[in-house]
This record gives sequence, C-alpha cells and structure tokens, in this order.
Amino acid sequence: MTTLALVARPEWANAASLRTAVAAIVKAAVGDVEAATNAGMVACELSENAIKYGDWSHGGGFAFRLVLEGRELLVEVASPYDPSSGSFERLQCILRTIHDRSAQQAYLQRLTEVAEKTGEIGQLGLRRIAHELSARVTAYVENDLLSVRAIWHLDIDRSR
Amino acid sequence: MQNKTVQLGDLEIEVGNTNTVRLVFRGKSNHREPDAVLRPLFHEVIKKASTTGTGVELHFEKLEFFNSSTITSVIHFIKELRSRHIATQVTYDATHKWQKVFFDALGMLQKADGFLQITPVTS
Repeated sequence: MTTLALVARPEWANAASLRTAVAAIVKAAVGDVEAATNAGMVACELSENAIKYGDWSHGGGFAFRLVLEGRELLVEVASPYDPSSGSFERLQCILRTIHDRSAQQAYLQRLTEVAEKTGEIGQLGLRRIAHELSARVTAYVENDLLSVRAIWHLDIDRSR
Repeated sequence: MQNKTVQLGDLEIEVGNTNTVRLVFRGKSNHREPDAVLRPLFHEVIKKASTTGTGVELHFEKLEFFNSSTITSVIHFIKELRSRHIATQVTYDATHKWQKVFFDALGMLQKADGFLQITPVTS
C-alpha cells in the first residue's frame, strides 16, 4: 500500500504542488504516465475546491490523503465547513446529477450549460473526475469538516 | 496582432499570424481565474479574425494539464468563435487519454456548418 497524508495550507499554488507530487508518487508506484496524470488531475481539482470553498476564517489547512492499494486509488480532501455557505448542498446536487444520469451525461450537460449561458462558470471539476476516470465521488460532513473523496480503478496499460 | 508568446504562470501560449491566427498552448494551466487573464488575449484573437476574415487554429497537443476553470474559459472562447462564424480548427493529441476524453466531449459544439472542426493528431 502507498499512502500520503498531510495538512496543506489553503494557498492556490498548493493545488498545483499536490498535483505534481501525487503524479510523481503514482508514477513511481505503478510506472504508468497516464495513471499518474489522472491522479494528479484529481488531486488538483479536489484541492482547488477545498481552497475555494473551505471556511478559512479561523485559519488552518485542508487534510489531503492519497491511498493506493493494488489497482485502486483514493484521493480525499477535508476542509473546514461553514454550514451557512451552502457548499455541501451544492456538492450533493452535483453528485446527484452524476448518480441519477451518468457521469458522462452529467459532464456533457454541464459543458453544454457552460457553452450556452453567458457568465456560466465552474462546477465542472467533480463531473470531470467522475467522467474521465469513472471514479466514484462522494462527500460527507463530520466534525465540521467537509470531506470529498474520489475512488477509482487504475487502468494501466503496460505498453505505455 | 503581432507574433508573440504569452506566459500565464505555467501556461505558455504562442500566438502566430500567417494565413490564420494560430494559438499553440503549452505547459499547465492552474490559474484560479484564468478567464481574467485569457479573455484579453481571446478578445484580441476574435477581433483580428473578424476584421481580416481569417480563420483561427487552436493547438492543444502540447498542453500538459488544464484545470476545470480553464476548461470553462476555453469553451466560452470556442463558443464565441462559432457564434461569429469564424472558421476554427482545434487539434489535440489523441494519445493522451485526458485530451481525448475532453475534446471528444467538446465535439458537441460542432455543427453541420463546419465552422468548428476538432481534429485528433497522434504524437
């Protein structure tokens, strides 16, 4: 099993740092560039969300966790949560669209909305993770922390 | 519009002018608000293509990563080009699965009028 766990400061540049670090770890562990790139993308998207939507009024950082066991990869971030922000409800709404339709349909629908509506931004990251990697994305609140977790099976092509 | 290279953090965009306006994206786009920094460049490209009647080439083959905020900016740009009937040729590297998945999805913006063409290339 390969694991990485740390508390990261909620600075934007740290999302890119985690993407690079996670990609390097996965590349070292499984030797597949595509799997490493994908893992880096997940680390980046989830970290960016934590930085954007976490409640940083009391300082602190977000917990970041990577677990690679066999061909299964888990990336999880947990950030301080302000219930009045509505961020958990928005997250649940996004996850419902993925669950009710399919990850592909949810992603395509959002791309269409972004394209069709002027000023429409964001809310692509989780759909992207679910669609590009067929990842299972879940979210829960516990002890004033909002955790978002992505789990997927590595598709490793030994010829790469 | 002059030939130039625009640097936005880890993202580099090479702008060329020949028969078309050509943008080559390289590196990684991690910006928090990419629209704020990309919009002036995209606006310049649209203005140039509109006034001269030239097409636009967007090359993503050398792009290593973009976050979902950048995806939003790129989609808005391509949509704007389409709505102004500017012939746009998008190319990407189909050997990178993440590029293939994204640009396959972007194919939904293509219409029968042929103003937008999305073409895979293999490195």
